Amino acid sequence: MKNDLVVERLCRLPADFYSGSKSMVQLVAESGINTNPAALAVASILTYLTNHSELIEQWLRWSENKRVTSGWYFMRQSGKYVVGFRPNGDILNIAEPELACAEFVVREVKAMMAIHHVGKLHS
Amino acid sequence: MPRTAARPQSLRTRWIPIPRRGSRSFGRKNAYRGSRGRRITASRSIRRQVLIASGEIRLSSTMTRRMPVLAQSQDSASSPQAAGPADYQIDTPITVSAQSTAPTSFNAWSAFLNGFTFSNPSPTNYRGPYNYGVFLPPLGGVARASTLAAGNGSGVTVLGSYPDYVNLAEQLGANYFNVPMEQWAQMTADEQWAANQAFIDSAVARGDSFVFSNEFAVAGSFYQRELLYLELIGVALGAN
Repeated sequence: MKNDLVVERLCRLPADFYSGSKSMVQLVAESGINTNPAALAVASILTYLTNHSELIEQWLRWSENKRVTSGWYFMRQSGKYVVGFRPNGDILNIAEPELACAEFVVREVKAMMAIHHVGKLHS
Repeated sequence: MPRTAARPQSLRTRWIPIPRRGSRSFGRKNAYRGSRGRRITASRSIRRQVLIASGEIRLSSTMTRRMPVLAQSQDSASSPQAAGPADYQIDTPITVSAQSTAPTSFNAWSAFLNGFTFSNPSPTNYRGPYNYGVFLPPLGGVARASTLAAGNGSGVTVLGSYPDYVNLAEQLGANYFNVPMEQWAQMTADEQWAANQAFIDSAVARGDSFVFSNEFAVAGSFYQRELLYLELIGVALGAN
């Protein structure tokens, strides 16, 4: 699968999630990232998000809708964007929404891939 | 008020003026400072929808309000997210109190306890990993169900956006909805909401007070759906 298509699918994960009936892990597994791991880079995600900034809201929504005690988050705060890991993880304060979102997407997708990987090991 | 006189007590609403976005008194955060949360606003159209929807369900329990309902229509131009009229605007913390008997049979509650894969749940094979922000021993069956239903005994449940609601709940020692990330990421959007809804049902059934961690609920977010759901089941939203 071409890199660009994988990047597009990754960036559209929350949009596909809320409009469909698949889990996030399932969507990540179907994105083609396993055969194209190079697609998961801040630079390529950033390029796509810069041209499709409407997707940033979807990622903000995915993050705020989480009901977990531990995991990455992406939020607006005092005019900036914050990407962090709860509890006690790194916190990035970034002014540009596209860059902040790209940083979040990379981290979140990696977390999903790890969940998928562990799930496969157990099945 | 003639417009609301015919409504059941639990759904009666008083509309009050509140500061607009941009005015001096708007957005003053009083969360965590011990001062009084003051206002909640919802678009009039959404509120109407909620009330209409409420009229269509049979309330199986009696809700007793401790707080007056404070609500105000909000024009979409002043909506903080500029995302249409469906935004709530809230100063925190606002508490909502409900005294009720449990809504006893909800499919979502069953899903909440059993996870979403059992077609024939049995009392002995509950595997619901969802808890209330407290460590739950690996109980099974009825014991686990009753532990989940009991909450952590604080009598307070925090709702809001991630991660703020978790942070606030841990500060307060309150109940909060919590699914392991491994499970959350493997649920569909509908399953996530069903579990969330069942959690709210159990909190209402316990008679918990609700505290909200965030000033705004974005249209379409789970947080907004939580607020609408509370109204739908007859829990009055009010300022502390």
